[in-house]
Amino acid sequence: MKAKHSDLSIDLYTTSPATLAHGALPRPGFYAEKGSAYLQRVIDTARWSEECGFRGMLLYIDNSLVDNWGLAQVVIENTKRLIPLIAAQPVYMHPYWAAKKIATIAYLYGRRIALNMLAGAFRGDLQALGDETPHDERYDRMVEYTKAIRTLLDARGDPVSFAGRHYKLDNVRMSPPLEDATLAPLVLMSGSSDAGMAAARALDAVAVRYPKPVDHYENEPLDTDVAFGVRMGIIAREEEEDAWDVAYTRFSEDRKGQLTHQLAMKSSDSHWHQQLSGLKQEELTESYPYWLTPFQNYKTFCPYLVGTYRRIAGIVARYIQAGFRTFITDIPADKEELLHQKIVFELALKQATLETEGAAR
Amino acid sequence: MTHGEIQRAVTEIVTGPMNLEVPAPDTDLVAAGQLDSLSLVDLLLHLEQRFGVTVNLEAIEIDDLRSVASISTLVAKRLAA
Repeated sequence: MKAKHSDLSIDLYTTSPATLAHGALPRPGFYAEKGSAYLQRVIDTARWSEECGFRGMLLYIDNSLVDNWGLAQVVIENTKRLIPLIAAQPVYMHPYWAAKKIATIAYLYGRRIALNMLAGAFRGDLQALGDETPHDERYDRMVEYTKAIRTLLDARGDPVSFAGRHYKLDNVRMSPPLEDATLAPLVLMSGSSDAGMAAARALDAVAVRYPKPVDHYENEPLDTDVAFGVRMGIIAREEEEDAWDVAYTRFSEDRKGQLTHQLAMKSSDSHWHQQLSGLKQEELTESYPYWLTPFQNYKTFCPYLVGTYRRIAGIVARYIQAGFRTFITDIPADKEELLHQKIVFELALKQATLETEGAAR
Repeated sequence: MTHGEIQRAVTEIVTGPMNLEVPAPDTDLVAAGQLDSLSLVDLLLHLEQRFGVTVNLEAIEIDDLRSVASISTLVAKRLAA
């Protein structure tokens, strides 16, 4: 999404519906249905996302979800240009095979993908696979993993050797090669710790975080040598009351969700889990529409902005001015939700552009 | 409520609605694979409903929830608080 008469632009992604594992706590956007019903839900959401001007759609991964590379193929086959943003955890797949999948998608469909590189948020998932790698070292491994993928894709089919601490390639040739360099993947990465930021710099990746209230970034400006993105939920309507009606209907408080959230936070060594958990809703000003109830009740992992188009657009414009250029919104309930978000982002970009141009005069 | 009454009530929960096997009060239910993250949440809900206490997971350790004996001690502390 690009503003008229300005270089200011933002990239918008939404998030795919996910599968709900047997016995897991029900969450909006997570579905226990099987096979074709879930498949159709993913196809619908991908099409809505494209129709509403989103650049791509995030495809989560963890031990409980279906393989997101399979979902990426579904997205590509059912849209014209939408970019699957594939969450990639090094433990799940060798970098050679990840590079081959990227090159195969380019070969078969001529479509670019984006990677959302993970170092791992829930230790339990990694420990269940026998991986006890400490937090900071997981970021080192993720950097090496991504560099190995890039080396393979850049080789244009020539033999590649790579000697890293975690991965080694010995004179390996990738077929099919990635012939078109413009189809090399966009790289985003999750993480807000020092190790995460160092990884973003090393990879020249977009550092995506679950944001704090925007005034935090106005008081403590972002580093200017890294591109930043945020993942947040947005529920906006013409009237404030209508927005909150939708929000309360979609995300109810429940004790089981709160306990599940507390347990998840206890077993996580994620920097952002701790940061968001440290924010207390009651400490935020009553009038500020930064809503943590969905996060605190294990309904989602991101904060929500809830309110009128104009008000939420004003906040989003401040995030843009603070330096965030990539926005990943939560799993939409329906196409209408994305249309409301589109209004917010168009207004926000217009406002941020006017203020940027005003400041330049 | 005495500690013995608490322990009996906890045993009723884990062997009744939780349907776990408890050979002894100090059996480690986590190590035995009987308590995982999903069932742990169910256990906490049962404890809160049965004893009328609120458990703040941030303030306790998983070790407090490993056995009927440790769970009973935790409940006794919450009731006394």
